[in-house]
Amino acid sequence: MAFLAPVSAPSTTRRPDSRRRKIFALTGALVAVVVIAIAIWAILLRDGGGGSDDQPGVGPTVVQVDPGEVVSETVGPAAPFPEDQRDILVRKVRDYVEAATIEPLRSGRPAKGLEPIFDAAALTTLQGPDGAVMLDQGLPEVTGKLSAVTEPVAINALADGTGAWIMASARLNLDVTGRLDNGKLKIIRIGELLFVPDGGDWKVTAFDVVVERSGPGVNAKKGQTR
Amino acid sequence: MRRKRALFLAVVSTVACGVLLGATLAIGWLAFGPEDDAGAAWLTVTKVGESHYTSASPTQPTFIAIIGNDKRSGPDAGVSPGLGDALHVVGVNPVTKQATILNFPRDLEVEIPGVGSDKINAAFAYGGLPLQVETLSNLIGVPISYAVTTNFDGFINLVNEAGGVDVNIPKDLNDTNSGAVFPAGPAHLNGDQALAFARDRYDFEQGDIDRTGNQAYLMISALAQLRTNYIGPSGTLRLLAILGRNTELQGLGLREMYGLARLALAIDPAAVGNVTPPVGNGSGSNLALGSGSDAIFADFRDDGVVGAVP
Repeated sequence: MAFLAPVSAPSTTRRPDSRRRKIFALTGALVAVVVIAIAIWAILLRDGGGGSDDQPGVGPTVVQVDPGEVVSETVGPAAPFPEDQRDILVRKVRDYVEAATIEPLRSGRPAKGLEPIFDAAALTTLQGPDGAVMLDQGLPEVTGKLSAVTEPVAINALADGTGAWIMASARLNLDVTGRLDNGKLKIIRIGELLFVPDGGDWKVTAFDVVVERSGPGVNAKKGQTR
Repeated sequence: MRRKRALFLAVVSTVACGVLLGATLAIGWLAFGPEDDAGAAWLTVTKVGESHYTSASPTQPTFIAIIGNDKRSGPDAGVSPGLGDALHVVGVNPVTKQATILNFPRDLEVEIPGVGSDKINAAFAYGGLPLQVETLSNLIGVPISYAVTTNFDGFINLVNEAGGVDVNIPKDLNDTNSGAVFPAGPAHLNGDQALAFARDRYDFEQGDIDRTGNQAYLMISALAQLRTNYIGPSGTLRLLAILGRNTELQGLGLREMYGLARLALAIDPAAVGNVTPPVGNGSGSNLALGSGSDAIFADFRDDGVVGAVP
């Protein structure tokens, strides 16, 4: 027994150490899980839930542009504005929101990819003071959730005496909300875009728009196109 | 015998075809023939010169002649182009969103190119719209890009389409010649009443000089009405559809008209000047331009506006 005592003694002291280590490890893992869960919960809470186009490193982006009422004005016999043409116009409005608002707010860079949306005359106009009204560039970068929602886009289209659709206006009532690092960005843009046919497509040739912006770091708060 | 029957059938069928063709043409003429005067254009918009206001140069002032002629519709219309009895040149400054209507009394004696000295409204009778525009352009020294012409019926229809015009009658009017019988004060005039007001010269001390100013005042009132009725690009498209059905466009299309309509509708009626150059007595019943008119024309030339431009 005397021989066994020194042998058994270390074994009795090793057992509590191992158990303690296991307890420490389990506790640590549990704390890590809780911390991670809290972090995920906090992020989700801050961004208000899921979105459509999550990007790595930033909050989700939601863009909603739906078709609204269509009114057909005709110089010749009455005719309805074709549905496929309406869909093109609504898609163009969405493209405009993406290029003029979403992309610059996310990237912090000037708006790009405007050529398929605006014709040459309108692009020239955008180089002047109207650019500050129509494009959300030079604003703080939106890092959290970014939402751009329009009221259903109402369209008025005009056909000439031959029945050709020569102009169409699209009503824009856009509400943008973005989460910044230090607050919230809000943009309201209201007005109309005038489209003209362009080789089977439609392009914006003129606009009549007012904008109101608010949020930390926003300088040009109000504006109206000329 | 067989040959005779064949000849008979050929003659009968030819006559039958002729009758059918004639009937078809007659029906076609009735159905699709030229419109009568009730369907005539209310306005004619003619591009008479280079357009200085374009999307590429949206800052250039533009000058537009507004000419009301006394040509009537119906069987008494005759072949004469009529006289340019209401004569105005509108200058529009697209940058400041201001405009000035310069008014010319019809009895004003001026130099008519190729004709000599005569009443300004005679230019229309001598050479129609081109000569009337040239006469006005030479007198003021501005390039006129567009001319808008209307007559009595067109004017009435235009005002009715706009839903009438709100005016402030400056004094009691009782002119049985024009039919302008209105008490002083605010009034909403329909097309016929507006025409009567525009034609009344006997109720006013300066006769035709006051009348031409009243015509410009009606235009400014109509602008206010149009701005209320046709808001934004969609409203302009609605207005263009109406105008397109009732306007004869010469040398320009609806897209160019859209630009002009937007330009006009962008101007606050309060920013539209109503200016009649000073005139005095000339030879006989003619009037002569008074001193100071040159300064007014020079002011008008530089930016389309008479008076201060902010």
